[in-house]
Amino acid sequence: MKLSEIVLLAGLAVFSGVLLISSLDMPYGSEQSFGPGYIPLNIALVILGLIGILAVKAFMAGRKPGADGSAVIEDLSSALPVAAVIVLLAGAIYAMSWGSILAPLGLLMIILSWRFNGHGFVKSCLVSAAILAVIYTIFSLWLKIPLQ
Amino acid sequence: MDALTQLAGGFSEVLTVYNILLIFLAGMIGTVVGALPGLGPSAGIALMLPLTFGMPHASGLCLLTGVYMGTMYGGRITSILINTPGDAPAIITAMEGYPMMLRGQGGLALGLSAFSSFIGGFFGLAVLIFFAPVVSSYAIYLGAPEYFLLMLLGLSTIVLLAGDNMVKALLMACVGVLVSTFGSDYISGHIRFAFTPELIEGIDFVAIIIGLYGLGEVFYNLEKRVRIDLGKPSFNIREYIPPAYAIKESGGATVRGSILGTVIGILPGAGATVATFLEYALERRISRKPEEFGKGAIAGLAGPEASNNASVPGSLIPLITLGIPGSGGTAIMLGALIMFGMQPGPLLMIKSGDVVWAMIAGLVLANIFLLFSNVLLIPVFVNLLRSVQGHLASVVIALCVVGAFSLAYSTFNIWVALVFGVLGYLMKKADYPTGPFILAVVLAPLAENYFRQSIMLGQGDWAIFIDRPISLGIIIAMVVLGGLGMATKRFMKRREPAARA
Repeated sequence: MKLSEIVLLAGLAVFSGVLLISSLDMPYGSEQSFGPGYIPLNIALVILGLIGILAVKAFMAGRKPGADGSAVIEDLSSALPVAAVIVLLAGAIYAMSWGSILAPLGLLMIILSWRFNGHGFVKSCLVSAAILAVIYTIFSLWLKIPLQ
Repeated sequence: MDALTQLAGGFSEVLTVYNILLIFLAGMIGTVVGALPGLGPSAGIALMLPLTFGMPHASGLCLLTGVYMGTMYGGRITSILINTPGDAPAIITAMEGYPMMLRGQGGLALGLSAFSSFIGGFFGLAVLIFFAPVVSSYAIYLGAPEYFLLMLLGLSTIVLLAGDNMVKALLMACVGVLVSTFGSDYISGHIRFAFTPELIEGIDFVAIIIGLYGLGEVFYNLEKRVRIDLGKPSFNIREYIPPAYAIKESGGATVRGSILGTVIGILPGAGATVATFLEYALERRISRKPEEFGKGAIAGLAGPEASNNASVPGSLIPLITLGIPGSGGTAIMLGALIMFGMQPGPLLMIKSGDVVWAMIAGLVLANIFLLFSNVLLIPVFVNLLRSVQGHLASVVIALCVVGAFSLAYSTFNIWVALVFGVLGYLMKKADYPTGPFILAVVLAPLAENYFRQSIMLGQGDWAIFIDRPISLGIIIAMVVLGGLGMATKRFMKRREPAARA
C-alpha cells in the first residue's frame, strides 16, 4: 500500500470515527420514521468496515512473495513539493482572514510561478500581477465581490 | 397549433432590436459568469435581477432566462480547460472533456459540447412549447417515494463510475453520504456536526468540487511535474469545429441525452445532475468502446452535455405551470415573476400568457445566439489558456481561491476547498474514483429526505414503495434494467473468447 493510500484511509477512518461518536448523541429513530442520527451512524460504521476490508486486502497482498515496500519511500520524496504548496496555501488563507484576499493570493502566485514552475522572478511578478488585475476587474469591479 | 400560434405571438413581442441585443448580451454575460469557478446560474440571475427593474416584463424575463441558458453553456468551459466544474452537472464534462484537452483537443471538446448543448437545449424547448401542461400534470403525481426511488436510480450509476475496484467506489460513495449529512436536518430541524457556526448550513457543494477537481488536479500535476503543452495561440477555426467523424459519433448520444435531460430535468432538486449521470451511465453501457470512457470519449462528453442543457427548459416546466422552482436558478426566477406582479402557478399561462410566451421565444433566440457566440468564443478561451499555460498552476489556484471566497464572502469556503483539494490529490494518487463521491454528496441529502418523508407517509411501513403504482413501476424498471445489464454483460463475456478465436 502506498503512503498516500495509508494517509487517505487513516484520515477517512478518523473522520468517520469522529462523526460516529458525534452521531451517538442524535435521535436514531422513532416508530414513524428514522431520526437525524440514522444515516450518519450507519454510514460511518460501513466506512470503517470498508476501510478494514481494504487494509486486510493490502496486508494480505503485502505478505505475498515478491511484494515490494519501496513504493512508500518513493511516494514521500515526490510528495514534498505538494506538501510545501499546501502549507503555503494554508498560510495564505490564514493571512486572508486579516482582511485582504488579493495581497496574500498575489504573493502565493508569485512564489508558485517562481519557485515551483521555474519562471524568472520578474516574469512571475508581471504575469501574476496581470492575472490578478483581470480577476480584480471581473470579480470586484464588475461582479461587486468584495475582494479588496 | 395553438402552441405555435402563441409562440408566434411571443416572437412578435421579442423581435425588436432592443430585445435581440438584450438576449445576445444576456447569453454572453451568462457564458462568462458560468465559466467562473464558484459562480453558477443562481449567481448569474441574481446579478442581473436589479437590471430588470423598470424594464418591460417580457424584456426582463428574456434577460434572466438568457443569462440562465448562458451559464449552462459557460459551465463547460472551465470544466474542459482547467478541470474545474462550476456545478454538479458539469462534473461529467470535466471527466471526459479534460482528458481531451490534455490530448490537445480542447477546442474540439468545446466545439462538440457547444453543438450538443444547442441540440439538447432546442429539444428541451420543443417539449416546453408543445407539452409543458401535459408533462406538468403528470409531475404532480410524483410524491416522496417516487422521488426517493429516482434519486436511488441516480445513485445506482456509482456502479458504472466505480472503475476497477468496487470496494474503493463504495467507500468513496459512503464518504460522500457522510459529508452531505453536515448541517441542518430538514426533517427534524436537528443540526448535525456543526463544529463551527459556518457548518450550520452544511458544507457548500461548490467549494467541494472546486477543491476536489481544481486544487486536487494542481497538486497532482505539481508532484508529477506535468507540463501541459497546448501549442501556440492560433485562430484557425477548423481546430474548433467538430469534424464529421466526431459529429457522427456524438449524434446518437446527443439525441438520447436530450430526451433524458428534458424528462428528468423536470424533477425538482437535482434533475440536471441525475440526468447527466444517468445519460453518462447509459452511453457507457451501450458503447462499443466502454474502455475509452474517462479518457476523453466523444459520446461520454456529448450525451451528458445535451442532457445538461435540455434540463434548463425542463426545469422551467414546473416553474411556469405549477409555480414549483426546481433549482436555485429557477427559485430566483420565481422571485422575478412575483416581482413583475405575476402569479406563478397553474394560472400563470392564462393570466400572463403573452409574457410567458415572449420569454419562451426569447429562450429559443438565446439558444441560437449562444451556439454562434460560443463557437466564436472558443478560440478566445483556448488561446487565453495557451497564453498562460506556463503559469497554469497559479492561475487555477487563483481562480479556485476567488471562486470559493465568492460563495459566502468568507475564507471558510477556501479552507473547505483546500481540505477537499488534499482529498482529491490523495484520491487521484491512490486511484480512488471521485465520481461516486461527488454523486453521493449531491444526491444523498435529497435521497435521505425523501426516504424519511416516505417512511413518515407510510407511518413506518416500507410497503409504501410498492403500494403506489408509479413507485412500483420505477422499482420494476430498475430491476428489469439491472437484470438486462447483467445479462448483456454475461453475453458479451461469452462472446469475447468466441470472437477472439
